[in-house]
Amino acid sequence: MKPREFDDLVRQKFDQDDFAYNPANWDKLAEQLDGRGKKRNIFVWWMPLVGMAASVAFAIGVPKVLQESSRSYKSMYAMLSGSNTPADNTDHAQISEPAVVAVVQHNDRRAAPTPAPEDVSHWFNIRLDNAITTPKSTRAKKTQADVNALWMAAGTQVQAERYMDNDAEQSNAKKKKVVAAKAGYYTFNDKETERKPVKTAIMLSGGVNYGGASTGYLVGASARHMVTDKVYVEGDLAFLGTSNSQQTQYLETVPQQAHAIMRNSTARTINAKNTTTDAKPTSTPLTQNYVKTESESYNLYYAQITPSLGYKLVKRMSIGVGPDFQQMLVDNRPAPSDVERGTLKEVPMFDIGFMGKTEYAVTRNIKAAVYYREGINNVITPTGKYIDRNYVQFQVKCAIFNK
Amino acid sequence: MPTYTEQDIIAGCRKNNRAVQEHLYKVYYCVFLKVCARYAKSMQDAEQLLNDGFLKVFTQIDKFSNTGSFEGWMKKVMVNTCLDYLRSNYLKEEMTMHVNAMPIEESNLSVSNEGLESIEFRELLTIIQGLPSMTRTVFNLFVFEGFNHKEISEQLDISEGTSHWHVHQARNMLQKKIKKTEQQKVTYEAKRI
Repeated sequence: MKPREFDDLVRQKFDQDDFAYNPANWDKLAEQLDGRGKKRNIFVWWMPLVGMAASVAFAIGVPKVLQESSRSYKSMYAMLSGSNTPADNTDHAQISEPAVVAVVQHNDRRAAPTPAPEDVSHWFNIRLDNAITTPKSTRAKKTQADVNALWMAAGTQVQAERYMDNDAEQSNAKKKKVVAAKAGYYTFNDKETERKPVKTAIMLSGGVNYGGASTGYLVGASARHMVTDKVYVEGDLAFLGTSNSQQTQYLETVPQQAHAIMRNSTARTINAKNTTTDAKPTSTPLTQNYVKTESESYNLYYAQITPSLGYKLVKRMSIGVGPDFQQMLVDNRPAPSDVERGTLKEVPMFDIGFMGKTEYAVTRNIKAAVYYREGINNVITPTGKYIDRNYVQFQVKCAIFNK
Repeated sequence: MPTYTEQDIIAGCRKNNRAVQEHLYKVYYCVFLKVCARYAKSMQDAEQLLNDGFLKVFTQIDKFSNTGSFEGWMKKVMVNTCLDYLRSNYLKEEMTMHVNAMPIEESNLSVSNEGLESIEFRELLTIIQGLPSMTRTVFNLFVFEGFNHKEISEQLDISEGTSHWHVHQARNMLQKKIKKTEQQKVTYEAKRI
């Protein structure tokens, strides 16, 4: 018998007989079909809306952080260079405290531009009116508070430069991505793509934050459960550490007798002219003004809980949205001013925010995520006294449990 | 059983009409269970594959463009379901084998017409299910689906020579097993007498 004949006979054999219909198999299939239909009815109509909302939040949030950073930086620079007086800044319009210049420097050691002596002196001349009549102790406290106000107003200040630097890094990263898509680099093979989809996963996460009063790092864990093929719920628990430092430059007025001692100190002389407009100017002794610098570093630590609802846009990319709760663990905040200032803001101990995220599955077990977080403390308690911390967070998650 | 035209069935399935879906399932149950049974290792696996295939048919029916045969489209879905199942479970281990196998010239087989005709359909199915996964898959694609060796090599990511080798191997193995089954039958009949 020729092979073709053999094949024909085998085919014919298969046409000769039939299997009996088994209704139990249809019942199983009907159950599967019913399950799919119900889940779709529940989720399908509103989940895309949540996805779109998260995307919009992310798209609006990132430029806002950059814009605010840039604006704060510019206003600080303008103030220091003498083109604007502090009175231009509404936060400081009510401040009667003299002779305070605050320069906020973040922990990236990128120093704010140092003002030229003559420029700064111009501003000091205006602000020195009440300098002599104010007790030194009060002045020192207010100096600190003033710095706080400036620092808080500055928000994400110096990060603008960092973002500019990051542009170059990001463009490099894009180039790397293009390279990574070429043959020879990691790609999903058939076996991986055909694996059973993960229903529940526990992941360890780590990352960095960039933003107002929030530049630092985080480590934590998250658990995810796929509710449907597309929709998942996730809970993140993380420890967040932010490292901040601030430099305060203030003008100290000392009697002429102490001039010799102060000359040997590291302080820099700005203006030697007495510009007071006190009621008894003639009785005021001749004084010497010095700019002194105080540096203070402090760290804020938070426990962060972020429940979220996610939607898988495509095979590897998903977006999510949810509330964000942060409890400060150690209160290291600089001491607030003891003088009433309506515009002075502080970082809240319990911080509530809104989070939008985008995740990309690099491999089955590794995910890269970008979060945008916006504080909503002033929305919940409309006192306006809190700093609403907003930041962009880059995270890498590694699955330790997939089922 | 209510009568439906093919267009009624397609429209009903698109509307997720359970009665129409059940009707379609009943009509094609035997046809496609045979297809799945040839690729699967057991009847239990075959029934599962059949349901997976029908699930794809019902959920992806919008992809059917109404231009070709509906039955042909469904059969394609079923065969692809079977291939996906085999790729993920069995074929990977066997794919690296015989990569350099050369095409084998077809030669006459020693099996007789009588031997093949006397064997039952269920017995033949069991013999085919007993073939190695890759050999069984290539044989099914070549003999039942009408694929040529080039198409098989593209589907399964093997060389054409390997595809030839598997078909040849399948015929030889079937031939031996059919002979063995025949002998067992004769022995059994002799004992009865």
